[in-house]
Amino acid sequence: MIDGIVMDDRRARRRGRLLRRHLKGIVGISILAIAVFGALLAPWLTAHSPTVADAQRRLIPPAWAGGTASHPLGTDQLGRDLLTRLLHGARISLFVGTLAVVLSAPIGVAAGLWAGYRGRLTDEVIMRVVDSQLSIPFLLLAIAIIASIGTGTGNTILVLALGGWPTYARMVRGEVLSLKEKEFIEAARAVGAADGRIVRRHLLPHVVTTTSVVASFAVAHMILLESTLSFLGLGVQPPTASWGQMLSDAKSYVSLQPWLSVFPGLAIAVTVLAINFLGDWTRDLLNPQTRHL
Amino acid sequence: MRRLLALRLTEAIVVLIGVLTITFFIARLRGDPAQLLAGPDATVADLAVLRKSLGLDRPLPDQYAAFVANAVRGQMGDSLRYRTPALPLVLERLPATALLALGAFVISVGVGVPLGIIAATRRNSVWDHTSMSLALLGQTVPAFWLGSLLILLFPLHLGLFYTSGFGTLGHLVLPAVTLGMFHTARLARLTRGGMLDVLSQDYVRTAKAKGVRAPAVVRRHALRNSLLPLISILGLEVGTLMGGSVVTETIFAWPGIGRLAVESVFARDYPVVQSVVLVASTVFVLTHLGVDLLYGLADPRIRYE
Amino acid sequence: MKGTYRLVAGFVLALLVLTSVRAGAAPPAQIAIGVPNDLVSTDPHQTSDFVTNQILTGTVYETLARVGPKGEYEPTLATSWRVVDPTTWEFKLRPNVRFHNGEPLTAEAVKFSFDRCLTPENRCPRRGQISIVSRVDVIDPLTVRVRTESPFAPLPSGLMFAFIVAPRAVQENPRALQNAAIGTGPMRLVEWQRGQRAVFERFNDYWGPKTTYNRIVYRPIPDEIARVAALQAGEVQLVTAMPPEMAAVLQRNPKTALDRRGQRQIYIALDATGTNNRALADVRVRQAINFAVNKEVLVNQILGGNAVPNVGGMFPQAPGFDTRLQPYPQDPARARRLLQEAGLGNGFEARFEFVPGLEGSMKTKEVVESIASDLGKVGIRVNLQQLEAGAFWDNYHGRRQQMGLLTWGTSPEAGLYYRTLLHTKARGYYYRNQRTDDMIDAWFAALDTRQRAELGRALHRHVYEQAPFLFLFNQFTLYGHSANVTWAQRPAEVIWTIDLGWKD
Repeated sequence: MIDGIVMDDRRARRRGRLLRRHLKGIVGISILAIAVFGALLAPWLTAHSPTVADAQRRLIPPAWAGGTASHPLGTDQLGRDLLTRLLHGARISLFVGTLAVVLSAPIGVAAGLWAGYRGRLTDEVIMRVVDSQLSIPFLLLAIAIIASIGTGTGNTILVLALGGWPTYARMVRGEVLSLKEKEFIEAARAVGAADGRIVRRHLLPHVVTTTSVVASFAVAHMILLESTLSFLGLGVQPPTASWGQMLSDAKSYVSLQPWLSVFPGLAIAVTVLAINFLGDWTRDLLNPQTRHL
Repeated sequence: MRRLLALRLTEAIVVLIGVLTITFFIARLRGDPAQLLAGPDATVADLAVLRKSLGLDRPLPDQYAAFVANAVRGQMGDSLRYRTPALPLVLERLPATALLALGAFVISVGVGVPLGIIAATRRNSVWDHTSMSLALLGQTVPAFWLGSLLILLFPLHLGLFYTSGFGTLGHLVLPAVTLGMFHTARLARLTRGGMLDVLSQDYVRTAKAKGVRAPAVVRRHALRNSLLPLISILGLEVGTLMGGSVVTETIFAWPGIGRLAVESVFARDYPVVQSVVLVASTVFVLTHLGVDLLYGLADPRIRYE
Repeated sequence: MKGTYRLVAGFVLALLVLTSVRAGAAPPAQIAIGVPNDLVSTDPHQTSDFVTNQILTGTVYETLARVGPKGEYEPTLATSWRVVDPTTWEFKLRPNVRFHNGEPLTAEAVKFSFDRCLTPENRCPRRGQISIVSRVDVIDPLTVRVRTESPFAPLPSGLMFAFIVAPRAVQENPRALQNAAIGTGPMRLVEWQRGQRAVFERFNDYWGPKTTYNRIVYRPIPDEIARVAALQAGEVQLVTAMPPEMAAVLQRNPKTALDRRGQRQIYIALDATGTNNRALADVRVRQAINFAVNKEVLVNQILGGNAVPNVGGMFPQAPGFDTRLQPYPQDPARARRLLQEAGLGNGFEARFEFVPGLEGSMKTKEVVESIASDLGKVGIRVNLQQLEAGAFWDNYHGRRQQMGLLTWGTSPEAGLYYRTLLHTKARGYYYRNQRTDDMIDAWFAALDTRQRAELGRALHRHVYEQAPFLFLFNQFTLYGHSANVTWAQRPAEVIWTIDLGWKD
């Protein structure tokens, strides 16, 4: 009887510890799962169109603040259902953020591996390019490029990806430099393994861990950057909805129709928070030493 | 030390040439600069004359060489919009941006570091959770939105500070908070992490075991060792702060280079855009150089690397 | 550690106290105005920027005639004018007028200013707007004759962008106007900090009624929330380019007031030449576009009633406005029928370029999104392209547009607008029609008022039917100002400083 209680207590405590350890992961994954499912299923979740305007239904407040049940979060300045636009906006925001990272990380990793492994001139050239780009404040670089190549969803992704790669390159290079001196690389070299094989088989797996942690944080950063570009009028094109676009369009309505900015603002904040949680969690999981980074 | 200085200087110069190269090619990604300069009423003959006078009829490598040679002498061409030399236009705006970045920097260090220390020394307490939640939140709000909310809250509802403009310290507060928010949050998290690492080191434990009071441990041992790595991060922050000023300056009508860059991009005023990029990068490279050297002085181990 | 906390806390507190002591209300001697962007240049022949014109025309640079309180053209630097022959006008200049640097206003100064802007090498962006003038002759020190290329009845209004600058200053130093503004107006520029403020002071030798206040300060505040907040907080006394949805905020506040004046026509230019989009060459397609769009919604909902639907591209006060014409009603069925007749029953695609807030246009993004949505309902699939102003003008002047949102400012003369945009000899980028050219020429040549009105009505009907544009609306420009500032009405977008004052 007494034993049982002690056991239960211990188990509960262990469960509590486990829960605490994985809380961030659970919360992060749940929120992101909701966002991703909302985005994917957007056309089936609501009956409204994200782009067709209906002026008769402009600026309806959320259902609980005097609105109607058919527009639970209210409507925007053109009478479009806000929930519908948020769901469709999730598609663009998550897509832009993720794709920008998916495009930039491999380039940066490849450059970093190459520079770190080859060393000497290759290293010098790549690292000076990296330094040059990193010394141009990213937002300045982004608006300068967009002013040249024009706006559009594709160009937004391109610019964000272009801005992201040097960070990975620098980080991976540093890691390769320290790995290169380790015994297992020396050993691989000694048995005459080809360079390509050493990089692929021995270096890549090691850098993938840190890269994926950094990349997950980067998605959050890219979502914020996309919203900033939208604010400057250089993001995705209307009537396509992105959260950043919605938030910046709603700015002048903030005093009288606050819901227009509150919901997209919350969507961005919560998603970024969830991604950060997820990043923290994977980092703790994969590499307990760098817990506090 | 001298060798380090020489090495770092060479690197800085190489990087600046790299920046010049990037700016040169961005401007040529699309369109003919002569068409922009000449305006809508220009005839084909006008354009040809202009192209020749700007050297746009020469091969690209020649143009590039001329561009770099001019830039080194501080000649970035005339602003298309203001029709005056572009570089002085940027330089006269630089102090405002520097002031804003400094303000944001002071806030992020003055708030972020103490917040991180409090969180680390009272780990898992209410303090820790509150400050870290705040820090997380600070990293999730887009600056343009935060800026607007601050304007509505402080000058309008509380009668504190100013909505926009440049002048007194009171004008600086809201823009500096807006620009510094993200970095404050980041710094708080980094400080906390660094402190926790140091606090778990053996020498700190020893000091504690010897009966040194906790605040003294923090002050004498943990703080110094955990702040040292932060210096290199702070150097990098300068660049991000300059980039972030694009949004903050636009919202608060701050007369710095970030707003100038946005306006120039909208007017396709390429000489000014190029000058802003070049000036911002130069500031960044120089700060970085300074931080590197300082770091070298502060931590003797670096010299031998 | 405690000491550090105290220090930090003390610092923050001190900062708060220091900075919360705000300057009291501005002394009545000064009026501050928040505008969306800075002066681009202090030389009126070097820029055609909308805000720069709003500022400098009301302070420093004057023209021979200007818009009066009732929309008529009132003598300014000229005291009277007469038609010598169909292509020659004689202007008598006002005596004893001085420039801000002390130079006297003479016929030579007028000729110099016209020549300066008309010389192609000077790249004056206003050249196109006064290109009807072929020559200016000095008759005596206070008389000039302006010769036009072809008969041009509404000449005085055609000179609203022909600014007169001090000749000697410019001859001595061609860059004299780069950082100084030297004109004849009621205020002179005393300080210009780019991106920060432009300060003007009363010009005591002004020829006309002087302002009751000493200084006027223009502050560029690009963000609309910050601009309106600056007015509410009393940091400025007047703001331009108010977004309509913030109007209610000002109306509720007893310390602020809303003002609407001036009319700006917003329209969508369609590529009627069909070069960039074949479908638009068909007049039925252009009419279908006009029938597809609901202007009432734009005017009453999106712009909050701060506009009226436009009829055929003319302002209602223009001579020759045909009052029998009504705006194209929204009639999707008819639009679809017209498209069917044009062989486009399945609709078509079109690129539609716009710049948010172009030249003071309000709620541009919402307006174009609403139009795109309406056009989509009749099968016209619009591909919206938001551009920066530079890129937009590049495409516009480069004749690469299919549809583009444009504006045309207040002028009682619709004729200028018709001529500049539709006449083959003027821009005529996206529309070429010999009959339209002839009708415009005939209208301008008619010096008799009755005949002009008749020809104007015929032209109005013709343009209405040809639908070279998607006619949208004439928007009022919204201003917010402090309740203790008075501002006499004048139907123009320029901020005339002589009309401003403080309430007693």
